[in-house]
Amino acid sequence: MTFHHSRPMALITGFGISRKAPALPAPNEAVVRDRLRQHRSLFDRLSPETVEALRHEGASSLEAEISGSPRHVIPA
Amino acid sequence: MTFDTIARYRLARAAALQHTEASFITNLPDRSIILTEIDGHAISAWKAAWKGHANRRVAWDWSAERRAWQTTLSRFEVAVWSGSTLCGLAIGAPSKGKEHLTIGLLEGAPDPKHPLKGEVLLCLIEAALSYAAGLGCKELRLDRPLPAVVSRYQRMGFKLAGQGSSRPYCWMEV
Repeated sequence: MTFHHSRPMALITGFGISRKAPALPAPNEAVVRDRLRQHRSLFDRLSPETVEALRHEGASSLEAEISGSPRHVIPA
Repeated sequence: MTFDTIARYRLARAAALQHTEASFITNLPDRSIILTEIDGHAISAWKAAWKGHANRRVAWDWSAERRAWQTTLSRFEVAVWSGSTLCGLAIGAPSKGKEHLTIGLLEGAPDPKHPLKGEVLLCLIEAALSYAAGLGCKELRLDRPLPAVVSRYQRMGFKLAGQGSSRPYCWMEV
């Protein structure tokens, strides 16, 4: 099978067909601000008690504020 | 790549950071939080106060990371400040179809007494959630969370996926 497009729209795998979405254009500012107006923040989603508990836990742990796997690690 | 694309993403990031600051002013008025992109000022602060810190749990090079991510125009990046103290950094990118935004790296200041200790994770996640919302993403993901703190992310509303694979992640609906 040969793809003639630089960005294949569909990739046939042993598990079926998965579609690779093309990159979407950047949204304009008005759209972004409209979406943000409708956005539910963490404070809307979590109870005040949960927020307080998370603040308390975070205050006593360094590991709680780390996530990810970097491309670059500082040499020892 | 066009200047228009660069400007649009920069405006989207700025709008998300402003939105997050406003949310914190409303909900945690006792905390003064400033959000910026990971600019030269943030890298200078990282070098001065974090790099080589005895309490640091990871030896990540934020200067090199910033350079590596700069070609991704749609990237998410945030530096969290309290006054002139750098308290947190996070960087990531949306998927090509904007289905999800993944935070690739997230780190709080290694000083156990930094002014936003306890709040910085909420702040970093809320900034990413806002940017994801602004772009129209459906999911926010945290790439390869530390297993010891997955339960904390779950209490924030994340679900764990990819267990047993080399690339587990936490996700929540935007």
